[in-house]
Amino acid sequence: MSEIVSSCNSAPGEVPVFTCHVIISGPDAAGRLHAVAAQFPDLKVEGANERDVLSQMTQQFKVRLAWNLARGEAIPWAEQPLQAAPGDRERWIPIHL
Amino acid sequence: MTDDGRQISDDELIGAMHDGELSAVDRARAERLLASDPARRRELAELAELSGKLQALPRASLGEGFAAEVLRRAEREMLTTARSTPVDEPTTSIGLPRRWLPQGRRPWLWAGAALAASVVIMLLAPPDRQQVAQQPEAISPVALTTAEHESTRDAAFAPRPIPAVSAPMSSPMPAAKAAPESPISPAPPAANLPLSAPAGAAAMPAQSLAAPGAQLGAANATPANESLHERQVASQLESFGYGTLVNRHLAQQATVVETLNRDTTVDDTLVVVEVDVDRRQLETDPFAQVLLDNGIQSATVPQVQRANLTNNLQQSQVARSRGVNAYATTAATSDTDLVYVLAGADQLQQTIAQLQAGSNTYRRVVVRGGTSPTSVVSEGIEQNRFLDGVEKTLKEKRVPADKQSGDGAPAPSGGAKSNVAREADSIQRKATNEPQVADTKPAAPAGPNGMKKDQVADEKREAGKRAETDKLAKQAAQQRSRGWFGRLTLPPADALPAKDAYFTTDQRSDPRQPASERGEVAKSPESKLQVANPTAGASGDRARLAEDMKAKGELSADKPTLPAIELRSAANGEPPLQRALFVFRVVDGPESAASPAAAAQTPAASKPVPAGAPAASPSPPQPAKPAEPKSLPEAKP
Repeated sequence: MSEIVSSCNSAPGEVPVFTCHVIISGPDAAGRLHAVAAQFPDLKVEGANERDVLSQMTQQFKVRLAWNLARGEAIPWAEQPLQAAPGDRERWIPIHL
Repeated sequence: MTDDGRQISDDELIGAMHDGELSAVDRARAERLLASDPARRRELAELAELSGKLQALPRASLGEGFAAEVLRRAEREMLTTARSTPVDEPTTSIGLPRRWLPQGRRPWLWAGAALAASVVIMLLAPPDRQQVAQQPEAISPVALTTAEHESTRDAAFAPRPIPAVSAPMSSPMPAAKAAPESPISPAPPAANLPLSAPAGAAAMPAQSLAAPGAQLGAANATPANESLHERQVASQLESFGYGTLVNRHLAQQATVVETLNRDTTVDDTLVVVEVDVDRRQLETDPFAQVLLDNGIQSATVPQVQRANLTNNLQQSQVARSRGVNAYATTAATSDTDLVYVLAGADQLQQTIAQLQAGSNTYRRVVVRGGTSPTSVVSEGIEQNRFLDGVEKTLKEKRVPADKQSGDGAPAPSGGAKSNVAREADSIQRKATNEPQVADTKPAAPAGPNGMKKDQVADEKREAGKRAETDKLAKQAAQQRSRGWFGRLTLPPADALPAKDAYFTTDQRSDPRQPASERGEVAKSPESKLQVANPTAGASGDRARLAEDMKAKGELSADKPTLPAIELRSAANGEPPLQRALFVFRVVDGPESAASPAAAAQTPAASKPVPAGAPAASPSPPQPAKPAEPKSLPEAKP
């Protein structure tokens, strides 16, 4: 548990808050936006607009954290977070569990 | 206004209103507050719900002599501790290690405390019903909310520790309502099964998913024939505070779920997901569809019983060969549904995410965690309806070897294609977009009228068959896309044996391999080779069948004829399955339960984040575009 707490951005005893770094690319030929969590490269969503992809991303990001937390596991942050490519947009979203 | 002239705060106002303690003036103020603030309305609704649940807590009798026993023990405690000398691990007379007790206290203080406790109990419990509610141990939940990016540190998003009384165990139970005088009597069978079998298990009787013996306190009575695994699961569930709610029936179902795939590694940890769900939404059985969407099918009691009762090697092998390794099973009470799921972590996470997204139906999603000893996976049985259909067809069309030509040779080809061949043909056409080829059919009777009727009937039959095969192909395609289910790979129809079809589960046992290698594969514990071979006996002597086919020229190096089911499981390097118990608490009406998603839409929840307020942001937030969520500087985890 201590490892989990230390991996988030909260002071001890406060509400755990994690930063979800989202990299948004697109729109593609079909007009769809694609987003990936920099800390979880396997966490990818797509949607019609930025609000849509961010909404999906935050939900899945939160579930990912909650799942690991509930199982008493360390959160499997990527050792090398993804970097945004030129033209990509980046968003940092605080996530409360 | 309070008695001492102090004005009642807003927080106290709501509570006092709920308790009916307000004056007319304060009540008017409270009503104005409720009319203007949705959060207050929710707070009042929560209080009402909490109060109702407290009233409906299951009760257990303390017995006639409880108070006397407490006093007697307290007295004994006082006497024994006053005379005893501490040893290495001294314990109190009630079994508690002495080190757990505060040091330096006089024993009579504990006796006094026990006396006070007994008095409180007697005061709270009417003399004619000396009962006390049981409460689960509170486990810190992780509340899941939605629309996180729109509001950051609003109270609506803070973790909402669930009081012990709001844990699912405290859900209104029919037995507690209907028969308070006999609080631990069995509840009647659940009448409604809002979260019953998904479409994939529609063939099963609905009541098979119910908890026919849903009993309060049944967990305390261990059946003599209960398996060790069931006891383990029950113990695990009880450790989560579901001891009196999750009865033995659910434990048995959990056993079955985990029994369904003996070759797949199952992780120890059980995650409990508590969900408040709107009763009105349950009519459409949405969670079953969520499970199906994520490739999780339903296990049912009849299949469980079949798995437990049968010792038929062939059936067990066939069952295991199906290799479906994601399951859900359901038990139900009147207001709480329990769905035990064994599936991949990605499937479970996606399922939770979908629940979280469906805020209209699922008001609140809380994930609770913990660990418990794992259980044993022993038997195997299949759940795949598609494969069920294939197997059924195989049995129908199967002709025992000794009834054929005497040497196990397949009957000559010709006539109408078998159902399996048609299914395979349909799947193949669907995969390759080939036009449908009409099956060979016997000639229709002569006569214009007869021809017409027959044609109509034939067309109807064919339409029905096409619909059925399309449905099967769709299911198969869905299962292939999900990857967690047994993947049935059928060869082209012309490669199938003309009469009998069969399939196996392991391509490593290709008959083109040397027999010695096949033997090693078949004996390997990792092997999923389970041949449903109509001509080779229950042991599945695939090699012998292959020899027969080779002798008849039905096998060649460039013509793979053996359909196979590719399995993804631990034996194939897949991660272990994980377990989750979804606890659905049915709530009525939109205001009866707190909805974080709804809270996110309130003005209070969507207010701007005060500077420096989020503990997450070590740096002040950057200016954000109006149409975009607030951007914060990157903070590496």
